[in-house]
Amino acid sequence: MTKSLLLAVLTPVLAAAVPPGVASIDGALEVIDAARIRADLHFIASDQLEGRDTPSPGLRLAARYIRARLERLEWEPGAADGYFYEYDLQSKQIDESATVASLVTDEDEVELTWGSDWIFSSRRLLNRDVTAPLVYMGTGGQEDFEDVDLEGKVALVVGKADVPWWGASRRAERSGAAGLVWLPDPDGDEELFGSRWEEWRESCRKGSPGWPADPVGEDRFTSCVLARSTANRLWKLAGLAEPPAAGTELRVRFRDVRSVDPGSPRVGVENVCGLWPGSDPELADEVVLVSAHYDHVGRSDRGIYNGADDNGSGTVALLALAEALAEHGPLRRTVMLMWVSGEEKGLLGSRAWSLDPWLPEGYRAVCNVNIDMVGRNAPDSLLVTPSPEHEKYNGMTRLAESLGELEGFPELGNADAYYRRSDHYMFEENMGIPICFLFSDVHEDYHQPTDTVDKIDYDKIRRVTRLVLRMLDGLQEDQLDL
Amino acid sequence: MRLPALMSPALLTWAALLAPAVAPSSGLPLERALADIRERPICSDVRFLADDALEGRDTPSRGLQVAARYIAARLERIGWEPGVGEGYLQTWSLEHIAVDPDRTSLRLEAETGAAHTLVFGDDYLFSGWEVQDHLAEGPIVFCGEGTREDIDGIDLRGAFALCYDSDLHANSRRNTVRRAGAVGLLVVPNRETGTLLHEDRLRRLALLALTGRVESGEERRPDMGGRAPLFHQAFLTESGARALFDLVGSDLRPGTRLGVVARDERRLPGDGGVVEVENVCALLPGRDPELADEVILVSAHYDHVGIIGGEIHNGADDNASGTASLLALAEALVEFPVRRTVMLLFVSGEEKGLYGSQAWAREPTLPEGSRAICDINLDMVGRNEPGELYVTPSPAHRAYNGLVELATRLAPLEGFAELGSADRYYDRSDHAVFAGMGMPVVFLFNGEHADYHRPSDTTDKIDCDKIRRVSRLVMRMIDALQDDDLGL
Repeated sequence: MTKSLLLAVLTPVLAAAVPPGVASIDGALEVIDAARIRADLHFIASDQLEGRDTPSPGLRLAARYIRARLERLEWEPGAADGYFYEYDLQSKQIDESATVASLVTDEDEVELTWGSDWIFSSRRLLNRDVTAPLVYMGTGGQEDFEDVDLEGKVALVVGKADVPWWGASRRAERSGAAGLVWLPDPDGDEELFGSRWEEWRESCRKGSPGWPADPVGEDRFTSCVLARSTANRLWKLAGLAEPPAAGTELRVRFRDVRSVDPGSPRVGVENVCGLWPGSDPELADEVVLVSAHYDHVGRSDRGIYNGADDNGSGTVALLALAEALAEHGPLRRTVMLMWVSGEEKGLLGSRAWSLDPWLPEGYRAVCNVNIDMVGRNAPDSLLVTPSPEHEKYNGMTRLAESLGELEGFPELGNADAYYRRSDHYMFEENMGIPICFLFSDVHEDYHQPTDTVDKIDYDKIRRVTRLVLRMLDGLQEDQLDL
Repeated sequence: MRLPALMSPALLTWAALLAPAVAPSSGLPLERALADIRERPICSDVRFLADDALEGRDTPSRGLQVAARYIAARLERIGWEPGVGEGYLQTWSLEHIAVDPDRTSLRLEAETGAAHTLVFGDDYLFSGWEVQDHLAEGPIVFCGEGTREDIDGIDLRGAFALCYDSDLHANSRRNTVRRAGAVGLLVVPNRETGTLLHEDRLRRLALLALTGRVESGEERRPDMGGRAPLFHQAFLTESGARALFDLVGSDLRPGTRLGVVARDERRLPGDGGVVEVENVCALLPGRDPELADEVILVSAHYDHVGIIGGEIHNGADDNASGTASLLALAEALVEFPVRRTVMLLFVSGEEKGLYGSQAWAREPTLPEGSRAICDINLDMVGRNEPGELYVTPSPAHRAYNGLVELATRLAPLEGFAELGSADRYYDRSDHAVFAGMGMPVVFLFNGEHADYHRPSDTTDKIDCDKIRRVSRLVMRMIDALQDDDLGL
């Protein structure tokens, strides 16, 4: 069906499904104003907030700015003790004395020193003790993985400077491997990831905030990198003059012991949550969750990463939505606005909440709309996931597609490649609710210090906000057939 | 006591009788504006500004900048016009006088080749009032306790005098040594006790050198502006003295040259210690072409005193309350048919010496061709008894004017039966600066309390309803200030 035909069919259906007497949202739509959205973004993306890293003082200031808005508009607190849902991150520091890898054969065990013989980044610091056979996988291309049984074994892959690492990594993980060990390119000069070794040593020693380490140890796929000298020792131990065919299991096993210092400090971080109670006694305990992450990546020696689009745009869209609903009054179902932190560190805020949600007694979340980066690129360009091609395609996407045209988005593009890349993924994964992700795609300033307010299309954010409000209106039917 | 002619006793009687007519109420627009002043937004503004995350809004500080941007965002969203060209922020400069600890040190170089670098704050101290960008270098000459007898006959020209701390008056010791031509004085702990005599005080003054102090760019100290270097006086702590004596023997008699050169380098940060600070300024243009060039100024300082002794001084009453009051007024006024222009001015640097209002007074951000005709200043309006409010200049003050009379007459409508006198505070806040520009001013203030300038001046103690009523009072005053002839 063409979009306009779809719209023509659906609009009366949607209109009929909403009972008479439910107030029109026209007044609320008018309240969503591009100039006021811009004023909010100037604060959220200001240098003074220093890029809103998780955790950071700038992030806390942003949270308090959002809270002030919810208080002023008389939104209900959406967390146990107020407007902040607090969760802990751990600034995981490596216990180097208890972190050691070994190359193991029946006759020999060669210990490797972390930070010089082998290394991994702070994202891969966890408690772990795994020994498994090494299987050489060449450069880790598609063909290399065919017909190879990697279940419980460690893939040994040659890293090439110009080949993206995630291809081989994903293939190895999907094939059931226990892990992946990177070897430097024998034809290259440098250590693999050479310039990052110092950075990784630093951040593992200093501590990098992340999901608290499981003291018992995590049984999950992870990777590490070997130095050139280590690779040479490996081949010697394996008794090989040169690398074998891809798919060959070596006589050398890899022992991978990683240890997080149990004294690593914890830091409290906040999601900001506001509730707009529903008016229908039958439906008020069903919660429509609208989310956006309000953190970004802080600063580096290249400057402050203001994150105007990522995700200042989503943050201020939710602020405008709060204002619109305050103007409108209650919807039939309860709405929760949630600004999550830690997204840039691995969807940590949405993960924390979805694993241990706080809602009023007896309430349950029924769906999620997540907004991340909606202020750039062509005015009529907006992507959505899950698309009709995705296994999780649901009524929320259909709703967005049908209403998009009313706000200048005649067609919604496919964002399936980003299905796991923002917070909606956590809500679906951990709570099993239908989700919808609105996103207007990356651009050349993505994760650069140049993602700044002057480049933002405020009218676009206004229209996306209006679209979400229309979707909320569409979610007022007696039965949600998502 | 001479009252202004307008307020002669006879006229006062008439004024009282005619009060309902003479204090015009615009009726419906005023009622609507008053209703727009609500407690929740006031409370949420106070809570944000007084949050620990803003670290007490010191001048200068990041928390202060955040507060300025918060206020600007609020004003922009409410719909007030930018008061400074295209924006809401008026920038002015302060000298932030602090040492750059990375480039400040006292180095001791012995003729033997041995050397030691002393760390400021740990090994040696000097006062925050003796911060400068200068290097003094010279051989160290022992001078006993620095008495006139000790110094007599010693050639101290171009040298650092070294003295044991003693009961000898510090200034006297310093002057003696300086007059003898020394470039500096190093004081080591007292020979008997092994300690510096006023170590606590010295450490406090040294902390001031690290944290810095601010001075208005307009008031250059002669020693800074004139660039004449200060005499280099430094106090060595136990560790510093030990390091020094390790380099020399201990056989010291007045006049002994130690064979050690002292290099006392003091540096300011690269920007020369100039910091930029902001006032926030917004305009509501008057709708009457005849009166729009007359500007009613409403002011509040939004800075406080930051972190002292490791504790955040949140400044909820001083002056998040006044700041929030102005923001509530902004909401009320935006729809109100003002005939005269209203300007909201949020100043910083008040706690440091009314610097922000002074900066504005030097370069008022008034629209072309307009002039400020009066100022209403609010500072601390959220504490003490609900009915307790003070005003200055009172009838007893030489600056008493029609604004105060207006406030006094309208106050009972908002639960302030009587306005006490705050004349003691006339010179203590920004209205004094605006008065100095020649305009009538009124200062509203709830009086001091036990939490004044303490870490305990926090949001939970604030009476947001009181701030609401003060805002309503000011709204009524502004309404009354729309009359053709004001006669203030």
